[in-house]
Amino acid sequence: MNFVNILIQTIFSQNFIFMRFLGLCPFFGLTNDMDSSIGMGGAVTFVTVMASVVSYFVYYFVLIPLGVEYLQTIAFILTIAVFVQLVEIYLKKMIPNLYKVMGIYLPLITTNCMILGVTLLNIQEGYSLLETIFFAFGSSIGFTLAMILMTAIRIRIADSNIPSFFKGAPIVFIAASFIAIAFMGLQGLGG
Amino acid sequence: MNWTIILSSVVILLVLGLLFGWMLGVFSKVFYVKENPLVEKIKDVLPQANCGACGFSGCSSFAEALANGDAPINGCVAGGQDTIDTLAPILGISQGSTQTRYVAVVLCKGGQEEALINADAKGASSCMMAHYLRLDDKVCHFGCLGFGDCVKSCPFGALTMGNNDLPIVNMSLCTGCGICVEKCPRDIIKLFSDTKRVLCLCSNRDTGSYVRKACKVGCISCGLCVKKCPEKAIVFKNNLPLIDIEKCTLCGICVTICPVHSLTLRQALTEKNE
Repeated sequence: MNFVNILIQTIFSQNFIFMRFLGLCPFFGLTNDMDSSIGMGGAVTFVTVMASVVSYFVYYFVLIPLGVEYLQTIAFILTIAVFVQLVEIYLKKMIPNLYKVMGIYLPLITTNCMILGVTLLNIQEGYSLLETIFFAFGSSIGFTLAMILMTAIRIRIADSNIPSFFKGAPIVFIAASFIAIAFMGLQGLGG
Repeated sequence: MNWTIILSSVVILLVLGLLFGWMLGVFSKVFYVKENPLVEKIKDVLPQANCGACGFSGCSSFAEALANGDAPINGCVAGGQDTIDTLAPILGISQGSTQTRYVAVVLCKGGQEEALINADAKGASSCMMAHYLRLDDKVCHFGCLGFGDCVKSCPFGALTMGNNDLPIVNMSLCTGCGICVEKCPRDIIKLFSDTKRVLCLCSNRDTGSYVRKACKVGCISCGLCVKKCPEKAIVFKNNLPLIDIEKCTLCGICVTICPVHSLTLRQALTEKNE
């Protein structure tokens, strides 16, 4: 049941964007149309899960034996950046079609704070490898859900007649805060 | 100060960084992808306006498709014959394939003096708005609105707004990409091949009596051109003359006899220069 709880927590009650406020740059920057937000969601899902696994091994098999746990932040940043680069090189060669779909989003993900947040929280909560994978997967699904919700709202906003001083970023921030408040109602789900 | 902590952190991160860097280096060697140098060359030649008239999302995707052989060499509408001529040696294709040049034509002659104006159109800021909110000032509901959506949309600067609120097409700059055609809410801009031809510069589909009340230069569908055409090349459809360019010999009789001067004989750009 623990895994189901982790999934429900990360997708709804502890959604990374609406409750933890991480990974907001793509959330506001890339939610203009459905294709790019779904593409970003897919790329983030892939990278988060893989980066969590890699950083799990880096932490428990490199940092702990050497007794330098305090280096986790900088080591994880390094790990994620290198990992994203590796994935990009690999995809370019082996799966060019997937590379075309995710191509422009992959370099952007390198600095997505949500991924670093997930890897750090995995360690903080003391998750096992399987729990780490579930946590990473759930949180990136939550991220994708948030992206899709925001895109749908922004498409509506683009067509509606709003006061000129709210146009652009302000109305998007307001809309995002409303969704965040709605998500607050889900607090307590999943234990 | 604990020097061992600082030193060990630096050494560990250095080792990690070197290890990762080495991994990346090996990886990029193993999975090296040769980018097609042809694509770059083609990209340099293309106009880079990203107008999308070729059917691809932009110049770079067209270049890729062209390099892979998925697009025809004359696919770039905006670049025209010049681009084909420069592309042909790059692709190693003989310059046999040519392209008809298209230019945009504004099918309305009713400027502020010719068309009857019965309202004030100050409320609108774009043709799209004026068209859908009925904020136009002219009696004619087919004619040019004059807010210049086409002028703003043209990526090549080929359209300018004339003094009488009618857009003027600069035929030497127009590439026939068709963006203005899409932007015009009244569909009065059309693409025609750049040859000498007779055009009816009116889009009013009303019958003669209504047109007469709305505009001095609108086609009143009198049918004189149909009767006088020696080649029987003109037929009327939707109260507008349709000229069959296969039959038309460009004699110009219809243009001279047209009582409202809505028919014009347009010179081809190439012939004009001579």
